[in-house]
Amino acid sequence: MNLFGKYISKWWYGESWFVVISKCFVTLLLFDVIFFTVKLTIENIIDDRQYGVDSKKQINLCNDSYYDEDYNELWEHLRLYDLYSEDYEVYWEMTQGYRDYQTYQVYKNAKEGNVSGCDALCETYRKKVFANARDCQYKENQSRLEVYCTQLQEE
Amino acid sequence: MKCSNCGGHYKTIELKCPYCETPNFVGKIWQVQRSEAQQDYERVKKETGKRMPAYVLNRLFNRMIVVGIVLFILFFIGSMIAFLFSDFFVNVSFRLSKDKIEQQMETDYQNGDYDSLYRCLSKYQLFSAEEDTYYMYCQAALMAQSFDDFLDNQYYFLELLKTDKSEEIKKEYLVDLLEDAVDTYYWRAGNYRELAKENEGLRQEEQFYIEAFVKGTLKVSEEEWETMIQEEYVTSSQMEALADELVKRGALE
Repeated sequence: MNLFGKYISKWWYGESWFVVISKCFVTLLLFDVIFFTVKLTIENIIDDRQYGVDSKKQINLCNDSYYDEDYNELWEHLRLYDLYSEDYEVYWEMTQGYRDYQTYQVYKNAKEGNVSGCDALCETYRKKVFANARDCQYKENQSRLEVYCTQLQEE
Repeated sequence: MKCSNCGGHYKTIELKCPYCETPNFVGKIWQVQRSEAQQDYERVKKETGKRMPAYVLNRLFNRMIVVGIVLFILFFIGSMIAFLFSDFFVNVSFRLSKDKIEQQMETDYQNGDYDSLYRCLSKYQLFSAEEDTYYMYCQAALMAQSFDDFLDNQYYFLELLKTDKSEEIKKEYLVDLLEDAVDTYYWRAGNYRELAKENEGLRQEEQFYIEAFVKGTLKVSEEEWETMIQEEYVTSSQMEALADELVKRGALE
């Protein structure tokens, strides 16, 4: 330990160019670590602000998927960023409608493929699709949910 | 000083008497010593001048290293305090309203709102903290999450079929989806492997959905499905062969 301390002391008080260069490396390394740690922390904070539940950016991103009728992407986005506040209820209602319709399709296909036990479920989800359009709380979703009903009626 | 020859007074540093010109040895010695001192001074000045940049840089780097270490320690201590404080805060807020939270979790569980249940368990860090107490909730929440991920993949696949992407890409995704279906069907999470009795219904429901999707939409036959869900390992090449067969049956239409 003393020997180590002695070397450290020699290095610390040394005045040769070799010592200067080694100190330069140590300083660079140290400030690199600090710089990247601080950078990551700041980036996280900025990310939290940008993609936080209340951020306008999130609403815009949801709107993008919503207007593109890409409800799968919308659902994925809502889940990924934990967007469960009131501002996002309109999107949740739509994605729920989409999911019920997709579930109905799965059971309908299974029924057609003679998978036993799908009849009742198929009927349940068929009713759910109609109920979603009927009991819709947000006007924006009304026409979109009715599209699914129309598709069911056409089948 | 006083001249030893004529008795005149003059400065000690003079080399000879200004009156009788008698040589002054003291002055000569002084001159020699002065010249030596001057040379020494020049030499030392030259040497120091050479060492100066290294000396200054060393001092500068020493200070920078000290500042760096102090900053690092402060940052580390700050992070530790923030981490411990947030943990402590979560723990305290859970203890303060434990009954209410448990009631909320039970309601979510009964209503099948596993998303809300998952958020609650995550928020209060209950996934491994009190494993035995909330085992059934944790398992149900994780099972539902895994199932939602499968649904996500399924929807993505169905949307992909509507696009004009190449059959090769679609087939690749079909293989992934088949593998995902088997994984989700046999869902097992590290600490929650043993299926809780209360979650049997949820498990059956999810398994039935997967089975219906695979057989109905992907057109997998009963025999193929049985092979797929065997406990034995199904290789990627087997899955690819199955996917080829399914493509022929119109699974990508």
